[in-house]
Amino acid sequence: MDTSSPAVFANAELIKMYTGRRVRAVVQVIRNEGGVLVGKSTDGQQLTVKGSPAFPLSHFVEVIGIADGNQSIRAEISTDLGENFDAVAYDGLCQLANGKHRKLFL
Amino acid sequence: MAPTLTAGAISAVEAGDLELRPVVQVVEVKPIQSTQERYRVVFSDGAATGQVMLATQLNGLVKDGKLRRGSVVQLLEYIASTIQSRRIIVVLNMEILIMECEIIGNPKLSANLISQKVLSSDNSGYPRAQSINGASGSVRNNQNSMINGKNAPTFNPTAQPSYKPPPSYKNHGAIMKNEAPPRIIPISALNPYQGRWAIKARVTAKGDLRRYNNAKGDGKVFSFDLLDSDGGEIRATCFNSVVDRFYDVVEAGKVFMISKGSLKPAQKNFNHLNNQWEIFLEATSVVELCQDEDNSIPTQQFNFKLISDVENVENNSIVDIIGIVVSVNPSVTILRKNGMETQRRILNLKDASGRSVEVTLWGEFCNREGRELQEMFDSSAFPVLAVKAGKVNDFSGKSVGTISSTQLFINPNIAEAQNLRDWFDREGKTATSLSISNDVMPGFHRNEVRKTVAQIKDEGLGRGDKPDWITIKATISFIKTDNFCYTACPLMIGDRKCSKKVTKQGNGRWCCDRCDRELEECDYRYLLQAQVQDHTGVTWVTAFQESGEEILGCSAKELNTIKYEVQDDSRFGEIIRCCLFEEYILKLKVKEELYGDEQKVKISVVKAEKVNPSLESRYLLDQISKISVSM
Repeated sequence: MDTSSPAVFANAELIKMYTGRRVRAVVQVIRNEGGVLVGKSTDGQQLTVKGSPAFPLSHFVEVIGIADGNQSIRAEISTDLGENFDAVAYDGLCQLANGKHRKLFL
Repeated sequence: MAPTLTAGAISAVEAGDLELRPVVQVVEVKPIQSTQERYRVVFSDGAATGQVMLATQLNGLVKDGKLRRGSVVQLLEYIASTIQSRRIIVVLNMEILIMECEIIGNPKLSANLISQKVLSSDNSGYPRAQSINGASGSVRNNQNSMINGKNAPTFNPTAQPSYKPPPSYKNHGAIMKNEAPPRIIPISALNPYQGRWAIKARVTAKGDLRRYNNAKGDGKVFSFDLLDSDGGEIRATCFNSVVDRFYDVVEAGKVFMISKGSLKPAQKNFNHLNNQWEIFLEATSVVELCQDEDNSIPTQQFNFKLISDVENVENNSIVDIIGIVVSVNPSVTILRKNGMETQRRILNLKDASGRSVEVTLWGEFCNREGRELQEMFDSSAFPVLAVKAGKVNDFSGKSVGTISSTQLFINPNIAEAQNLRDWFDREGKTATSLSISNDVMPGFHRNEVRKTVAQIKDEGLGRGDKPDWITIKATISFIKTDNFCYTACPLMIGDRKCSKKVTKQGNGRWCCDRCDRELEECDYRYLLQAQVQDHTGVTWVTAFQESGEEILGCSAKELNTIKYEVQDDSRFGEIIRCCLFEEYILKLKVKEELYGDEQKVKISVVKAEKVNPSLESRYLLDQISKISVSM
């Protein structure tokens, strides 16, 4: 298992802090445009995923990749999580993982 | 040649003789602690002493050194006025006869001089209770024997009831009471056996004038709440004619001196102040506005609870809370049970405990504070709202609603509000918070008590009179497969099934002892003995019919058929194996029971459900946020 570059749990808000670094976020698919996926992050804001295949609308997709600039990720791995996903719980996790408990994660 | 001082001048002046123009000698000159430059002078007539205040136009005499200890003067113009219900002599004009002179005669210093701090309170605000007898404000001289020989000293109210001093004030200028005013005591010292008392307090809430109708006829009543400088609170109530006397006098936010009311036990249904007594004002009661702005009495006293603590508060309790308003809804008209319509507004408050709560505004609050909050919110401000005396409602989660005695404060000027504002700007704005008012998360088990397996033993659960109901998150590690069910009576007793064990008879039928009947068919009910464990330990539990079905996923009858009639062991084994090592949320009833001659703690499963990752995550987030609180 390659642990050299762990992906940080992030939402749209937190991605700004990790530009250039590997992050993982979950988005709900809003639309697919060619090689670009536009989705709603777990904190309600919009995220653009570049270099991702298309996924069914309103499915939840986990994207692991490099954060590049505002509100977008260059995808390396995308996984379809289906339609049932608790975005609130995931967002809570993002807050904790980047807040008081970040030492547990990075 | 020693000048002659006017004999008996002091007592004459104090008695009200403003025409005397006596010759007296200065014993002491002292500036009082005040924003204004003002001096207090003690004069002697050779035998007795008294204190006066110098009118500010005479300040120059002191500053130039013309008026000092030993100076002999003639008081030309002086008046008596009442300040804070005490009589003060103010000298407006005097002539200095001799600037320097030895002290004439043998003037006795009155006890008043000892507690000097008191006098300085006249213009500068309320001193803390440092005077001799511990009561704030006026000096108590009862114990002081020096007083007994004299008439009532000028500035300080005299001793209490036993020595009713002769009426010392005549109708000069301000209205005087004939009797010496009663002593001011802290609200916390009030009780029905107190005797004469007076309190000085600020009105923190003025209730509405209410009319009522009972067996005795019509009446009206109004109450107001008081807070004194020691933080003591008490409610004062007036009925009927007394209402007319005081309703317009009492103003919220102002300080009053109140005395001659009667003390009765507080009505806890309506009176949520922290005092077992309530004041009932009567026709003879006194409610006097204190003109001086008294900064030692706070404008309001709060006892704030964190929103996370409100979750554990009993239904219908009264609490104070403070939080940032994170949502405001428009007013809606609600039809009440009595057919009357009223307004309701819902808003949400968030605080640093990681929780938010729904606050319901009723009636006038919707139009007043509700609208103000809506406007502030619409212009992107997040105001701080403090709620005093809100009522907790547990209809859907816990929420707080306004009642008639509730008070709302928007952006109050208190430390807690500032702390909240700082927290919100720093991190609170984006921090997640769970609402304690939501039923939206089904099965969130708000009222459940989560324990670990080890805690069952460690805390001695089940040993009390009543059984303990707890919830654990555990995996089933073993199920006893012999006797996993029993044959039960299917007959109904009332609205419940008999379910007593039935015995098979020779003729193939079943017999129930309780119902005293023979039956063709019987029920099969689960009696599962299972071992459950979590990270802290392992324990045996019994699961009955409903929970057995929840765990195994099929009915006892089916399982019985599979095992004994069809005898499909592999399928039976499969069903059992499926539920092993799955995490369940188990609701348990723990109770110690007598088995033979031993007391054993028996645990039965009331409800079993597989862990729902979403709900469990939220529960865990909730728990984590509770650990992290500091306010």
